[in-house]
Amino acid sequence: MSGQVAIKAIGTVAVGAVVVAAAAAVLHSAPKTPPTVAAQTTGTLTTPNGVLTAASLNLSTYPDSAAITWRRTNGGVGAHPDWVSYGPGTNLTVPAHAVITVTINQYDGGEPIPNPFLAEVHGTVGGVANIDGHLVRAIDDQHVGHTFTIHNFPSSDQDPLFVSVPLPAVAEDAPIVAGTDYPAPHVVTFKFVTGGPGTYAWNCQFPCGGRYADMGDAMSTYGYMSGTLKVVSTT
Amino acid sequence: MGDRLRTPAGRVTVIVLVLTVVLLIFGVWWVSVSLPTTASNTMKAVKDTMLVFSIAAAPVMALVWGVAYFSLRQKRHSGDEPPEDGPPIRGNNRVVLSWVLVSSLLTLFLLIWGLAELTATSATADSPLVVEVTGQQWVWSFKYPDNGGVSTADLVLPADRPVLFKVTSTDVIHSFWLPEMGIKVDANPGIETDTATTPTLLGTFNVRCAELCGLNHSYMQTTVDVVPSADFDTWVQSNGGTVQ
Repeated sequence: MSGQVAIKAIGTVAVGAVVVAAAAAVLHSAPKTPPTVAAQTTGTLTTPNGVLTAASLNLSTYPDSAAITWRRTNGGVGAHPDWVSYGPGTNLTVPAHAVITVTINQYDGGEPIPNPFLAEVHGTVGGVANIDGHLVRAIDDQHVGHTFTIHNFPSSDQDPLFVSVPLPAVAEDAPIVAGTDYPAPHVVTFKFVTGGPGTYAWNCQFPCGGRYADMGDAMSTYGYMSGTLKVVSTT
Repeated sequence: MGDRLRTPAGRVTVIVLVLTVVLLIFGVWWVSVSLPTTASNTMKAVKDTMLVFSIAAAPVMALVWGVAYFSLRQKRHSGDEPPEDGPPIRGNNRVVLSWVLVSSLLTLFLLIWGLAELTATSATADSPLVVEVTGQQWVWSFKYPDNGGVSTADLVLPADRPVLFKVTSTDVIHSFWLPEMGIKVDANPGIETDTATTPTLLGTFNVRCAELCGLNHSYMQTTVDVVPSADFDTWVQSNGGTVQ
């Protein structure tokens, strides 16, 4: 009787070990943490707040995450190649007390955005964004592709920061540019000023993720349409 | 007098009186330290209600705890053989009547107090400042329809002026929570829910989502700046709005 109990115990432990090993294998093969995209310092700018460091950050939004280099590991296309995604990464780092110039190449289509407030530009220098060479304070809320929206982290020991810039949708019938997989992008450029060091979250506010009122999948998984923005001290 | 205190009823009475005093002190202290700053008439009503309810509950709680403590401490049996049950107590009309009457009066008082405070804080003034509050994963936005449609992600309110919030959501259920103003109301998609308050304290306070709403729920917060009326008008005009 005791031998049977011992066999059952060993069997249970063995099954548990197999389950743990399988879970470890799955986790190991899962996509790695998105790479950090650091803003490049470009000099200084004279502002009403004094002379500040100037830095630039370049991002893109794609209709499919297969376009993101870091996801194409081992010759594959990533776990969810059909999910929309920001690139080249979603963990962003920018200097503190600096003017950050963000340029986003927007390759994706879009639809009406549920909340017109998010079709407006908020929190940028001058309250404007440059879209394809035109300064705008808002875009047509019926044709929004995505937004780039930075949120406050729930902490009182870092400076508040709220920036939200809408990215217009690429027309459905826009021709594919030769030699690429996408139409010509909308180029959106804007500036915002950072305060002291801190950690913030950013995400797209346009429901573009599929499932759950289009707030699932890419919208509910870090590394696609959301990430972190770390403001770091440069001194 | 000394003999009376040595009876079971006397001992229970002493325990209940001591516990009542302790619970009253604790209740008053706890209400003063556990609730946020009072930044509106609603929050004042909330604190007043918490204080009154704590005071009303103290003797009741003391009686329950006192009797329970005395019974467990003094009437606890030790040994293997439990004693026979005592004779049943029936027909004490005076105790039953007192208990029912006191409980009814206490409950009625709390009901009337609660309804009066609820009615007072829910009342909408004749010309409140209307603010349309929209929750969306994961941002709050505020629009002032009577001020030229000014919209903002940071709530700005004038002090000492009634405000009517019209709260809704564009996607899932959120909860519009102003901790220091005693306001917490669900933001439901497709439904507009009204709630009102009057800010009474200048300063910057919190706006949070109190309903788990997805990936960045914890980031769905902003601030409310309560400013003098003149500063509010200036803010409205600087954002392209019109002053009433």
